[in-house]
Amino acid sequence: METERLRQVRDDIVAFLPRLRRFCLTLTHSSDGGDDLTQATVLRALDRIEQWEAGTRLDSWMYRIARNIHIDGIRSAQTRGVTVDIDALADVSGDDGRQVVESRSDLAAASEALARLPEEQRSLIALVVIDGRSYREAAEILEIPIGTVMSRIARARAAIATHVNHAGGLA
Amino acid sequence: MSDDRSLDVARWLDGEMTPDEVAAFEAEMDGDPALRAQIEDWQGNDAALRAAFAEQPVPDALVALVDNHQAFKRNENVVDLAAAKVEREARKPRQMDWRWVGAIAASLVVAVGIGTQLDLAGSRNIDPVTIALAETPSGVSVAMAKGDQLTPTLTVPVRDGYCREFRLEGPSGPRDGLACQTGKDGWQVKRIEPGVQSGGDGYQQVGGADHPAFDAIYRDLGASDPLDPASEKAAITKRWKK
Repeated sequence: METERLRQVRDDIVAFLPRLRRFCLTLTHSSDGGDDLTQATVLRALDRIEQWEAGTRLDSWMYRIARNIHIDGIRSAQTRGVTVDIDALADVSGDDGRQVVESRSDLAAASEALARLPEEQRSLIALVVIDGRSYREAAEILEIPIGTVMSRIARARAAIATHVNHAGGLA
Repeated sequence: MSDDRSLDVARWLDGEMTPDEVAAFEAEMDGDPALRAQIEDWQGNDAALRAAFAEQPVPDALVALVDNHQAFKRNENVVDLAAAKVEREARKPRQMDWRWVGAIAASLVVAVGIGTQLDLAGSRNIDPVTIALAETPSGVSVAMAKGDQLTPTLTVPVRDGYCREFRLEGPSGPRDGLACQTGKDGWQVKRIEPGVQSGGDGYQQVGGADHPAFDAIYRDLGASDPLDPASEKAAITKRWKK
């Protein structure tokens, strides 16, 4: 019989799913890859739920799981090549008006720039810029020093700006 | 830009500076147009990324997986993820419709229905409505979905912050709104009024620009003259801090 604690954890995971799925999509840069990673993360988290310490953040713990699974996938994919589905991120609707079109190209250019970042920088953009986590929280999730968070996030933004401006996106 | 300067820009954008550091950096920013331009550049990219990766509805199959993961592991086929993938492929052309329309509808319903603040997720500016209000100059439309767009139209300083008028156009017809950010609160939608079409060259507010409902709010909040584009840009850059 399911315990009250497990029921609560399941509810918390369901509430967290939209943000987890977005994080996975940011890491994988493909809709299918993002959902597959979300699924694998949920399964692993529920399998190992006894390892999660009540009172600590469930979302941080699951972000760490997602990222570890993703890195394992990258390592095993390195021998067979990786497909980056940038088009999946560029299907922003909105089809009338010059400025609307410019907005669409801004989103596509920024997404494409993100896809080109090394994984370690992309994870940080996903956590800090897109999910709004503090440097300290990001450092804990990624298990790196806070000084490294700071320098990587600045380098990542510089790289995105270079790409976007070079692509004629955001002025 | 030097590495140290880049670190400062990032820390300022991410709210990682102490109040003293913020004050010193913003003073530096005021006297350095190149620094300001760099900040605006990065700020715009951040906003575009948040918009491109706005939260989306989760497929039912993933939710079911949480409740049935033991059965799933025993291959009892309680969650047909393959079917879910086929379904997702079929829906693909409409994904952005849900993302934008869903987000904006939820935001507006909550904001108008219970008068709460628009920052729904409790983290920074992740929904497109907040992005449009917080980071988009007046006259620039933020694409929502096919035909849907939100356009800030006017920025008005008030006693403890700012208000922005905006126009929302979409399948349910044009609407005009007023949102304000005062004190430490995030952007809150104060009023949404039906808009009327003005014969082919855009929309205008019911009752014209001097909408009575907006006037009453402006009076309560101590509004002054609207900002010109340069002042508005400066306010956006300073993240609406006075």
